[in-house]
Amino acid sequence: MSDGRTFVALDRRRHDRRSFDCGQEPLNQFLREKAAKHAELGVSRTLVLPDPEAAGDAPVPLIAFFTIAPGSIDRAELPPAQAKRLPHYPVPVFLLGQLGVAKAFHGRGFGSIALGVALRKFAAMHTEFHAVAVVVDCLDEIAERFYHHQGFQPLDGVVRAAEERTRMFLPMRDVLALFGPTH
Amino acid sequence: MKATTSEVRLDVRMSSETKRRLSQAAELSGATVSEFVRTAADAHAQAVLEESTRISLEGSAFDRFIAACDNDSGPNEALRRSADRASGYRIE
Repeated sequence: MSDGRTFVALDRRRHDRRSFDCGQEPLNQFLREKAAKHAELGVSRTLVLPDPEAAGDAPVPLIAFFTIAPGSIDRAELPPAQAKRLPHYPVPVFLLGQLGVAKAFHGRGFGSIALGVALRKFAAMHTEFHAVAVVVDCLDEIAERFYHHQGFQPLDGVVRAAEERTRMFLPMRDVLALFGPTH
Repeated sequence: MKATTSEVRLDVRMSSETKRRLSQAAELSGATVSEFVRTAADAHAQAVLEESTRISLEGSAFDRFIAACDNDSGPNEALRRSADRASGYRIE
Protein backbone atom coordinates (compact mmCIF):
# COMPACT_ATOMS: atom_id res chain seq x y z
CA MET A 1 0.00 0.00 0.00
CA SER A 2 1.18 3.48 -0.77
CA ASP A 3 1.92 5.94 2.04
CA GLY A 4 2.03 8.93 -0.30
CA ARG A 5 5.70 9.45 0.53
CA THR A 6 7.33 6.64 -1.38
CA PHE A 7 8.32 6.75 -5.05
CA VAL A 8 8.28 3.33 -6.70
CA ALA A 9 9.18 1.99 -10.13
CA LEU A 10 6.35 2.39 -12.64
CA ASP A 11 4.35 -0.84 -12.83
CA ARG A 12 2.01 -1.07 -15.79
CA ARG A 13 -0.33 -3.45 -13.94
CA ARG A 14 -0.59 -1.53 -10.67
CA HIS A 15 -0.45 2.08 -11.81
CA ASP A 16 -3.10 4.02 -13.67
CA ARG A 17 -1.22 5.55 -16.59
CA ARG A 18 -4.33 6.41 -18.60
CA SER A 19 -5.93 8.89 -16.21
CA PHE A 20 -2.68 10.77 -15.52
CA ASP A 21 -2.84 14.37 -16.70
CA CYS A 22 -0.10 16.83 -15.81
CA GLY A 23 -1.33 19.38 -18.36
CA GLN A 24 1.46 18.53 -20.80
CA GLU A 25 0.27 16.01 -23.38
CA PRO A 26 3.80 14.93 -24.45
CA LEU A 27 4.54 13.99 -20.84
CA ASN A 28 1.19 12.20 -20.42
CA GLN A 29 1.85 10.33 -23.63
CA PHE A 30 5.36 9.39 -22.55
CA LEU A 31 4.01 7.93 -19.30
CA ARG A 32 1.14 6.10 -21.08
CA GLU A 33 3.03 4.68 -24.03
CA LYS A 34 6.78 4.74 -23.55
CA ALA A 35 7.90 4.84 -19.91
CA ALA A 36 7.31 1.15 -19.15
CA LYS A 37 8.78 0.05 -22.48
CA HIS A 38 11.88 2.20 -21.98
CA ALA A 39 12.38 0.66 -18.54
CA GLU A 40 12.17 -2.85 -20.05
CA LEU A 41 14.76 -1.87 -22.66
CA GLY A 42 17.02 -0.44 -19.98
CA VAL A 43 17.01 2.99 -21.63
CA SER A 44 15.57 4.82 -18.62
CA ARG A 45 13.75 4.28 -15.33
CA THR A 46 10.47 5.94 -14.39
CA LEU A 47 9.62 6.43 -10.74
CA VAL A 48 6.10 7.34 -9.66
CA LEU A 49 4.41 8.61 -6.52
CA PRO A 50 1.10 6.72 -6.15
CA ASP A 51 -1.90 8.49 -4.63
CA PRO A 52 -2.36 7.14 -1.07
CA GLU A 53 -6.11 7.92 -1.19
CA ALA A 54 -6.67 5.25 -3.83
CA ALA A 55 -8.92 2.41 -2.71
CA GLY A 56 -9.85 -0.99 -4.06
CA ASP A 57 -8.15 -3.13 -6.66
CA ALA A 58 -8.33 -0.62 -9.51
CA PRO A 59 -5.03 0.73 -10.91
CA VAL A 60 -3.68 3.40 -8.56
CA PRO A 61 -3.74 7.03 -9.76
CA LEU A 62 -0.40 8.82 -9.70
CA ILE A 63 0.52 12.11 -8.06
CA ALA A 64 3.82 12.59 -9.89
CA PHE A 65 6.42 10.83 -11.96
CA PHE A 66 9.94 11.39 -13.19
CA THR A 67 12.27 9.55 -15.54
CA ILE A 68 16.01 9.17 -15.07
CA ALA A 69 18.74 7.85 -17.35
CA PRO A 70 22.49 7.98 -17.73
CA GLY A 71 23.62 10.04 -20.71
CA SER A 72 26.61 11.83 -22.13
CA ILE A 73 27.63 15.15 -23.60
CA ASP A 74 30.38 15.44 -26.17
CA ARG A 75 32.14 18.19 -28.07
CA ALA A 76 31.00 18.23 -31.67
CA GLU A 77 34.30 19.62 -32.89
CA LEU A 78 37.76 18.81 -31.60
CA PRO A 79 39.37 21.60 -29.60
CA PRO A 80 41.88 23.80 -31.43
CA ALA A 81 45.55 22.80 -31.07
CA GLN A 82 46.32 25.52 -28.51
CA ALA A 83 43.51 24.24 -26.30
CA LYS A 84 44.45 20.60 -26.48
CA ARG A 85 44.26 20.16 -22.76
CA LEU A 86 40.54 20.90 -22.79
CA PRO A 87 38.48 17.73 -22.61
CA HIS A 88 36.49 16.80 -25.72
CA TYR A 89 35.62 13.17 -25.03
CA PRO A 90 32.06 12.42 -23.99
CA VAL A 91 31.48 13.37 -20.36
CA PRO A 92 28.81 11.48 -18.42
CA VAL A 93 25.68 13.28 -17.25
CA PHE A 94 22.44 12.27 -15.57
CA LEU A 95 19.31 12.91 -17.60
CA LEU A 96 16.11 13.91 -15.89
CA GLY A 97 14.07 13.47 -19.03
CA GLN A 98 10.56 13.87 -17.80
CA LEU A 99 8.97 15.19 -14.64
CA GLY A 100 5.23 15.63 -14.30
CA VAL A 101 2.76 16.35 -11.51
CA ALA A 102 -0.95 15.52 -11.91
CA LYS A 103 -3.05 18.68 -12.30
CA ALA A 104 -5.12 17.85 -9.22
CA PHE A 105 -1.93 18.13 -7.16
CA HIS A 106 -0.48 21.30 -8.71
CA GLY A 107 0.56 24.09 -6.35
CA ARG A 108 1.46 21.77 -3.48
CA GLY A 109 5.20 21.55 -4.01
CA PHE A 110 5.27 18.12 -5.63
CA GLY A 111 7.40 19.42 -8.51
CA SER A 112 10.21 20.48 -6.20
CA ILE A 113 9.76 17.33 -4.08
CA ALA A 114 10.10 15.12 -7.17
CA LEU A 115 13.14 17.14 -8.28
CA GLY A 116 14.72 16.81 -4.82
CA VAL A 117 14.09 13.05 -4.77
CA ALA A 118 15.55 12.67 -8.27
CA LEU A 119 18.67 14.67 -7.36
CA ARG A 120 19.17 12.65 -4.19
CA LYS A 121 18.95 9.49 -6.31
CA PHE A 122 21.58 10.92 -8.70
CA ALA A 123 23.88 11.69 -5.75
CA ALA A 124 23.59 8.03 -4.70
CA MET A 125 24.22 6.82 -8.26
CA HIS A 126 27.22 9.13 -8.55
CA THR A 127 29.44 6.70 -6.63
CA GLU A 128 29.13 4.30 -9.59
CA PHE A 129 28.61 6.74 -12.45
CA HIS A 130 30.65 9.93 -12.18
CA ALA A 131 28.48 12.51 -13.89
CA VAL A 132 29.45 16.17 -14.24
CA ALA A 133 25.91 17.54 -14.42
CA VAL A 134 22.19 16.86 -14.40
CA VAL A 135 20.44 17.71 -17.67
CA VAL A 136 16.69 18.35 -17.90
CA ASP A 137 14.33 18.76 -20.85
CA CYS A 138 11.94 21.70 -20.73
CA LEU A 139 8.80 21.38 -22.82
CA ASP A 140 7.53 24.88 -22.12
CA GLU A 141 8.36 28.17 -20.43
CA ILE A 142 6.75 27.11 -17.17
CA ALA A 143 9.23 24.25 -16.92
CA GLU A 144 12.09 26.59 -17.88
CA ARG A 145 11.12 29.06 -15.17
CA PHE A 146 10.84 26.26 -12.62
CA TYR A 147 14.30 24.87 -13.35
CA HIS A 148 15.84 28.34 -13.66
CA HIS A 149 14.46 29.15 -10.21
CA GLN A 150 16.11 25.97 -8.89
CA GLY A 151 19.49 27.11 -10.24
CA PHE A 152 19.59 25.32 -13.60
CA GLN A 153 21.32 27.09 -16.52
CA PRO A 154 20.42 26.85 -20.21
CA LEU A 155 22.43 24.26 -22.14
CA ASP A 156 23.36 26.24 -25.23
CA GLY A 157 24.88 25.10 -28.48
CA VAL A 158 23.19 21.70 -28.77
CA VAL A 159 23.95 20.21 -32.18
CA ARG A 160 21.12 18.51 -34.06
CA ALA A 161 18.49 19.21 -31.42
CA ALA A 162 15.77 16.82 -32.51
CA GLU A 163 12.85 18.77 -31.11
CA GLU A 164 12.23 22.34 -30.21
CA ARG A 165 12.85 21.88 -26.55
CA THR A 166 15.16 23.72 -24.23
CA ARG A 167 17.67 21.77 -22.24
CA MET A 168 19.03 23.03 -18.96
CA PHE A 169 21.71 21.74 -16.65
CA LEU A 170 22.81 21.82 -13.03
CA PRO A 171 26.44 21.08 -12.10
CA MET A 172 26.74 17.80 -10.20
CA ARG A 173 28.81 19.75 -7.64
CA ASP A 174 25.61 21.48 -6.51
CA VAL A 175 23.83 18.14 -6.16
CA LEU A 176 26.68 16.68 -4.15
CA ALA A 177 26.78 19.78 -1.96
CA LEU A 178 23.18 18.97 -0.99
CA PHE A 179 23.34 15.19 -0.93
CA GLY A 180 27.01 14.39 -0.59
CA PRO A 181 28.49 11.33 1.13
CA THR A 182 27.71 12.84 4.53
CA HIS A 183 23.98 12.86 3.82
CA MET B 1 33.49 -11.69 -34.53
CA LYS B 2 33.35 -12.90 -30.98
CA ALA B 3 33.54 -16.67 -31.00
CA THR B 4 31.82 -16.88 -27.62
CA THR B 5 28.66 -15.08 -28.77
CA SER B 6 25.98 -17.56 -29.67
CA GLU B 7 24.06 -16.75 -32.82
CA VAL B 8 20.32 -16.59 -33.17
CA ARG B 9 18.09 -16.24 -36.20
CA LEU B 10 15.76 -13.39 -37.08
CA ASP B 11 13.26 -13.81 -39.89
CA VAL B 12 12.11 -10.58 -41.46
CA ARG B 13 9.41 -10.17 -44.09
CA MET B 14 10.01 -7.55 -46.77
CA SER B 15 8.90 -6.67 -50.28
CA SER B 16 10.79 -8.20 -53.21
CA GLU B 17 11.78 -4.67 -54.16
CA THR B 18 13.47 -4.07 -50.80
CA LYS B 19 15.14 -7.48 -50.99
CA ARG B 20 16.49 -6.66 -54.45
CA ARG B 21 17.85 -3.32 -53.29
CA LEU B 22 19.52 -4.95 -50.27
CA SER B 23 21.14 -7.55 -52.51
CA GLN B 24 22.44 -4.89 -54.90
CA ALA B 25 23.79 -2.73 -52.10
CA ALA B 26 25.39 -5.74 -50.41
CA GLU B 27 27.08 -6.77 -53.66
CA LEU B 28 28.32 -3.24 -54.21
CA SER B 29 29.94 -3.14 -50.76
CA GLY B 30 31.40 -6.60 -51.13
CA ALA B 31 29.39 -8.20 -48.34
CA THR B 32 26.91 -11.04 -48.23
CA VAL B 33 23.28 -9.97 -47.83
CA SER B 34 23.31 -11.37 -44.28
CA GLU B 35 26.43 -9.43 -43.33
CA PHE B 36 25.10 -6.29 -44.93
CA VAL B 37 21.73 -6.43 -43.19
CA ARG B 38 23.29 -7.35 -39.85
CA THR B 39 25.80 -4.48 -39.94
CA ALA B 40 23.34 -1.88 -41.17
CA ALA B 41 20.57 -2.84 -38.77
CA ASP B 42 22.93 -2.96 -35.79
CA ALA B 43 24.41 0.46 -36.60
CA HIS B 44 20.93 1.95 -36.92
CA ALA B 45 19.79 0.28 -33.68
CA GLN B 46 22.77 1.73 -31.81
CA ALA B 47 22.11 5.17 -33.23
CA VAL B 48 18.45 5.03 -32.15
CA LEU B 49 19.34 3.83 -28.65
CA GLU B 50 22.04 6.46 -28.22
CA GLU B 51 20.14 9.33 -29.77
CA SER B 52 17.98 9.88 -26.72
CA THR B 53 20.87 9.84 -24.24
CA ARG B 54 23.69 11.49 -26.16
CA ILE B 55 24.03 15.23 -26.54
CA SER B 56 26.55 16.98 -28.78
CA LEU B 57 27.53 20.57 -28.14
CA GLU B 58 29.28 23.03 -30.43
CA GLY B 59 32.92 23.36 -29.46
CA SER B 60 32.85 26.63 -27.54
CA ALA B 61 29.50 25.76 -25.91
CA PHE B 62 31.01 22.47 -24.70
CA ASP B 63 33.97 24.34 -23.18
CA ARG B 64 31.60 26.75 -21.43
CA PHE B 65 29.56 23.81 -20.15
CA ILE B 66 32.64 22.10 -18.69
CA ALA B 67 33.79 25.37 -17.11
CA ALA B 68 30.32 25.92 -15.58
CA CYS B 69 30.36 22.40 -14.12
CA ASP B 70 33.65 23.22 -12.37
CA ASN B 71 32.31 26.47 -10.99
CA ASP B 72 31.80 26.38 -7.25
CA SER B 73 28.81 28.67 -6.80
CA GLY B 74 26.80 26.14 -4.81
CA PRO B 75 23.08 25.32 -4.78
CA ASN B 76 20.69 28.25 -4.48
CA GLU B 77 18.04 28.75 -1.80
CA ALA B 78 15.19 27.25 -3.88
CA LEU B 79 17.16 24.09 -4.55
CA ARG B 80 18.02 23.77 -0.87
CA ARG B 81 14.30 23.99 -0.09
CA SER B 82 13.56 21.29 -2.68
CA ALA B 83 16.18 19.09 -1.04
CA ASP B 84 14.61 19.73 2.38
CA ARG B 85 11.12 18.94 1.13
CA ALA B 86 12.34 15.75 -0.51
CA SER B 87 13.81 14.53 2.77
CA GLY B 88 10.35 13.33 3.84
CA TYR B 89 10.10 11.16 0.72
CA ARG B 90 11.95 8.07 -0.36
CA ILE B 91 12.40 5.72 -3.28
CA GLU B 92 11.62 2.08 -2.81
